[in-house]
Amino acid sequence: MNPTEFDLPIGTKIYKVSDLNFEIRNEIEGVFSNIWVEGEISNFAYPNKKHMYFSLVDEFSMIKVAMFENNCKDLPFSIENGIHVYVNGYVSIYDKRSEYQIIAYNIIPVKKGSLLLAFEQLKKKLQELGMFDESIKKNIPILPSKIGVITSKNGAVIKDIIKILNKRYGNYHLILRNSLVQGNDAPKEIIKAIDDLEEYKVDVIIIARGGGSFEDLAPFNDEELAMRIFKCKIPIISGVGHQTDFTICDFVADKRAATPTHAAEIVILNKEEALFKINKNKEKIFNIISSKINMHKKEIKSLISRKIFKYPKSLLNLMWQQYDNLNEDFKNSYINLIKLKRNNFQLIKSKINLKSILEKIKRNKIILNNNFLFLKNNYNAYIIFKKNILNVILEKIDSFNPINILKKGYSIVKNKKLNKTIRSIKEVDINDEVLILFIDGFAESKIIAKNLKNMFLK
Amino acid sequence: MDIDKLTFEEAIAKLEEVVKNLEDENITLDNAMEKFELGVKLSEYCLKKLNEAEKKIEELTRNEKGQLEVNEINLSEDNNDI
Repeated sequence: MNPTEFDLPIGTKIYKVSDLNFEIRNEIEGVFSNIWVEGEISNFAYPNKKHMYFSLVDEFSMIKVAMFENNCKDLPFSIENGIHVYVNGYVSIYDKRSEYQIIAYNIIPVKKGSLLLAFEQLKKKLQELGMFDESIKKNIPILPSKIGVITSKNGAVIKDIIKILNKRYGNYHLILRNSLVQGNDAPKEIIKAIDDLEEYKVDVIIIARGGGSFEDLAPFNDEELAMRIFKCKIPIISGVGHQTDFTICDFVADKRAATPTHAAEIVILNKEEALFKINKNKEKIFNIISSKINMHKKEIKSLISRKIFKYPKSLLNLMWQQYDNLNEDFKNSYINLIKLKRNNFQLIKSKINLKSILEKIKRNKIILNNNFLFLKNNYNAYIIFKKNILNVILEKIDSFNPINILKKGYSIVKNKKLNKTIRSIKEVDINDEVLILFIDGFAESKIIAKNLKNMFLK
Repeated sequence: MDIDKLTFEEAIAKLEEVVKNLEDENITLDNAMEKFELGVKLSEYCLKKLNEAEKKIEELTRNEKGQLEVNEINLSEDNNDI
């Protein structure tokens, strides 16, 4: 092949790469020499606290920004991801990579970045709805028979999870449900993935994604996704981003894992540890029961070695002997007691003089008779006296007898219902039914009028 | 108690309870023998549960008819550790 065939026309200007970049840079720096740009800070880095690097983003686009040491020092506030700022500077080209970027002189905060603001607002709302409450979180099973994982099939995350599961358990059953985990369509895809895994019935679901910027993790701050996670009947572990990243998904999930790897550690027990624990318990049970049996064996042995079991007759003989001794003792002391009582009786008998006692009885008999006579006479007189008093009282009582009063022409009025004598006009009402009692019968009547005037007083 | 109906968690918890019961010195021999038998059964059951499953990595997708289906996939090129 003849290289001259490809020679360019004479006079053609040929740039070296670096020259071209240099010229473009001059061009651009000339046009955008002192500009203000508004955006949200993302992917902020400040290595060794010297120069700052970050991206300035809005909803459609991003541009890289660098700010050098001398300008950084003058900033009155600290730069962080998500804040909304105006950046003042010029546009330049980073020759080595042909990347254009803003070299910033100054940064002024506008207000909190809208994404971060939205995050904080949603977080507050869901928190107030009680969706983060520990009390409603479902328990994560320690030995799930089917583990569902929602993540990108092609990412590193699923491989990391498998690696951990291999180490921890070995014979696990994993169901991957491939999904986008970045971009605007990610939340809807993840929701669909949850639907599918719920329908397929796994025991636990991991939603996982590797680290990224605040914007990268935005799908996990989606309200609809949060609601879906909240309503899922299967416990969900969220393992999104790095240790320091918190998303709405993390808060609403039943368990937050710091990273996808961590999620894999939470989702199933460590088989070796479990085996160790079970075997340890088994061993304990055997030890306890065998020592218990040994103890009882010893007890029985010592019981058997007792005399009663060894020489049962000798013990019985001993008891008979004791019985005989006691019996003998009892007999002797009984005989002694009788002897003693007999002696006492003889002694007392000898002291009593029968003749003088008989005379004393005779005397007392005469006194007693006299007293009795006296008492009888007095008592009769007393009875007669009391009888007379009684007769007087009876006569008096008779004069108050209501029957006698009725004989004189009075009658008694009774309330028929209450069967109670009426003593006052106040105790009757119009239409009350009353009984009028006469000496020789009664009449039923009804009160038709009532007058409080007393007929006996004038 | 029907041990086969317990979840792994329940069986582990029961096993620990049995050990605790057995550690009580006032337990009668009859009761201890009963617990011993239960404890042995529970631990065998737990060990069985741990080894029951077979390692499987599958992907859940929907076919053209919209039905769920699972297919084994191979993602574990670097899982030769164990």
